[in-house]
Amino acid sequence: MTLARDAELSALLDGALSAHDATALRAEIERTPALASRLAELARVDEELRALPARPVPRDLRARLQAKLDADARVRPPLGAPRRGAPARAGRQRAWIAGFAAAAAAAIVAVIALPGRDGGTPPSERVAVSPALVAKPASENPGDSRVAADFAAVTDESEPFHAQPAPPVEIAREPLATTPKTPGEAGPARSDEIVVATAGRGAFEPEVPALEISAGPAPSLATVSGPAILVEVSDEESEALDELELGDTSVVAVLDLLNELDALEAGAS
Amino acid sequence: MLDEDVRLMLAFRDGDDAAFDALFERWAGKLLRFLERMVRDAAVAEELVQETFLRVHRARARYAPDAKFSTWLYTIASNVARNELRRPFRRAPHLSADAERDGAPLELAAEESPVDEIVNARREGAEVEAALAQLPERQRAALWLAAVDGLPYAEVAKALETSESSVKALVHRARVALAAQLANARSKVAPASAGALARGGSR
Repeated sequence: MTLARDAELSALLDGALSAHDATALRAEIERTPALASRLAELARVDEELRALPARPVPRDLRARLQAKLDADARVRPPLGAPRRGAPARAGRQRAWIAGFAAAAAAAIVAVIALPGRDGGTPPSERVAVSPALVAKPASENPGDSRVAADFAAVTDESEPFHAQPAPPVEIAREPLATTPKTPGEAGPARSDEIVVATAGRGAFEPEVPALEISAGPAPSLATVSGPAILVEVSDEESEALDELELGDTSVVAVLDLLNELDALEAGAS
Repeated sequence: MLDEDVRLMLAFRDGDDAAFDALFERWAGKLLRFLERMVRDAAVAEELVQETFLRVHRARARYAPDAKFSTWLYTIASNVARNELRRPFRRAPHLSADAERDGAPLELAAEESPVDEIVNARREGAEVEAALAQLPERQRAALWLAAVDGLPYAEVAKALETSESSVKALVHRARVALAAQLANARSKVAPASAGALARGGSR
């Protein structure tokens, strides 16, 4: 069963195919026992997930929440309610958010640099990641108040901010064919095309830049703008990168990418 | 006509505290089950349900019904789960009260002895729970929201702040991985069961 067929079957289970595609696929399933059997296999996963025992909500959970709400009410008014001194503090809060975002970007750099990649297969290419974050006052985007409100709600700030997808985060990939990992040790040759990803960040998660992976012009590592971290990745990890939705814009969080890579690494060791 | 959740949230925004209680009643269970699968720790999941509703409570004055309430709620829940998972020095996860009593989290089942495996396999849902726990966070979230909570891909995409095509890929990869892991787990448990029975029978 090809991955593409599995993907179609999966989308069929979720009712995510168009009526036309669903009808065509169902007809094909009727004619093809292997497809029918694979569909049943995937459907069984859903059945088992849905059959997982549902632990009841603890009786005291609402009371525990109320205690938190009461404590919260003592220290802050609800979002959007007029707050004494708020206008004077708005600029400072914005500055704090921008500072926080910059600090978060630095933290992400550290996280990306930290995972030990000394086990497993030798690296075959280098990946550069260049995170950048910007916070912009919502007043400059008056048409997008909901995003701003959600952002404020999640970041616990009373002043709305609109998340801006610029400047981009970039990922550039370059085979290690001519770049020795350590002096005297050349990496295996690879002729992968280089992929770049531009990115912004989600309205709800200012700490984590979202990467929009897309097929695009192929820059070299030298063209990555801003501060970048280099991560050397193995063939397996490189394949994980390939699995990202290239050619069709998709979004992944940097740390999800790393989770995927680490899971692969754990599986290989 | 307004969605019931939106109606309740608007009523809560306008000062009706009973509407907040109603929203809690309607959603706490689903959120708890989602968050348990995300953080794999029953006690932490309970804390995160409270945190999610705390944020809803704080944001009430600015609530605007231009998205489904469930999407908004799951977006907040996904974010609090993500923050928790990225918190340094998280304690080892414990999926359920049962797992805590047994002294071992379910995801360690694969490293246990054959007899333990059989016991675990017999525990309701243990196999699928363990397999789910091994999925990457984002796949786990996408699959749960689409397959269990029945959210359309468009809503899952909003909640996870990604594209629909990405959700389609995440759900598909998660389902295929789970199907493979479950098949693998069963193929291991079956011979182990036979062996254990044979040993038991020879005494």
